Amino acid sequence: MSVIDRVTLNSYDQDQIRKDFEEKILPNMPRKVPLLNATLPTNPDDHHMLYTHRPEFEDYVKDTIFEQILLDLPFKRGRATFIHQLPGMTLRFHRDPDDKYHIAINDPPGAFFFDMELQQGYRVPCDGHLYKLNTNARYHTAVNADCKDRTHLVICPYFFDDDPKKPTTIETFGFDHGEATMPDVFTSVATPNNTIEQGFFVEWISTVFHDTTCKNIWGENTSSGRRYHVEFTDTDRLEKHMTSALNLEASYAAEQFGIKIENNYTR
Amino acid sequence: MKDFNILTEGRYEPASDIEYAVLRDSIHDGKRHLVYTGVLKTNDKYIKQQTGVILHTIEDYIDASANVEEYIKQNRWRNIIASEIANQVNNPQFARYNFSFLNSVHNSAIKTRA
Repeated sequence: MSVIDRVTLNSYDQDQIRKDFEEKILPNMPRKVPLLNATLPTNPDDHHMLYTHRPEFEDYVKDTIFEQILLDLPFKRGRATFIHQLPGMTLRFHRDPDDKYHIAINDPPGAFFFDMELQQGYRVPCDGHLYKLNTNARYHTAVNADCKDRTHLVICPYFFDDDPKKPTTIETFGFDHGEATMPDVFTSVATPNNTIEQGFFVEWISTVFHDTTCKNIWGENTSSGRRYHVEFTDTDRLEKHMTSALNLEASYAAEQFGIKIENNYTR
Repeated sequence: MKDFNILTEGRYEPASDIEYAVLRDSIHDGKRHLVYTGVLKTNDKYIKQQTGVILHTIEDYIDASANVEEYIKQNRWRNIIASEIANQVNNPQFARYNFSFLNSVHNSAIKTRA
């Protein structure tokens, strides 16, 4: 099992990557949370979806080398984000619902990607190549212990591979922690919804993401929980996900703490 | 089943504290979808703190007319579940629903500056 794999045969011009980032992207980077979106869905109303097709580009990405990199991808584009980690910044350990494709804009020697299970740090070489990182349902983080910035463009694929005009069915899966008996688990930093999603449901969300008949997913926070709306073109596959062992097990584990589950297929 | 637990120096046998449940028993197109789980119910504070909730689940699509209890018994599902749970107790860092992870993880990317 490898954690990081190079996926491009030819490299992009690293000098151009840095120049375009500094001149066109960096001026748009928010200061407080230095994340900047690169791709957009065609319909602006779909912007809130955490998983949807994003074929369009933000204005500041147009006519840069990043537009070319994104156009060259051999898969449909989902979210793409510039992550600009200032010195000393770290991410918390988390699991993604998919593998991520990285192109390093800056990756100084004191910065690294860290895989929790293997307890091993990895550099993403700054060589103009695209790298695939094994982040799907796997605990990992990124640390910048250097004096210089660590900046990557991080790309998510969009796996839907059915007729986009086909009728769809939308179902809801949700949890509510209003009467949960797990106060110690909720810290001041980690919000309950994100904690519960990370602890229980990331693996299930990952299997939904990777189904080629899943068109969209979007989340909605309620007063004491979260609801996921999942849109499928194949109702049988949708039902399989809603009644899968993974879903039922995660729900049962959450219920051990008094978290209530909303799932029309099993209640 | 006796599993030596490194956390408690062998004082604790997980198999005796497992609660089993059928999470799904549904017939569709002549096949029965069976999802069976076992969850560790222990009052051992140390194990609870170290491991969070420990469970293991097995699923199968079997003949609709099969006797569920017999099928579970014949295929030794309880033994398999008890063995998997013992593995998680002995290696709490990678228990599937781990408290310490629940405490420390955060989903919304960059949050802190050291």
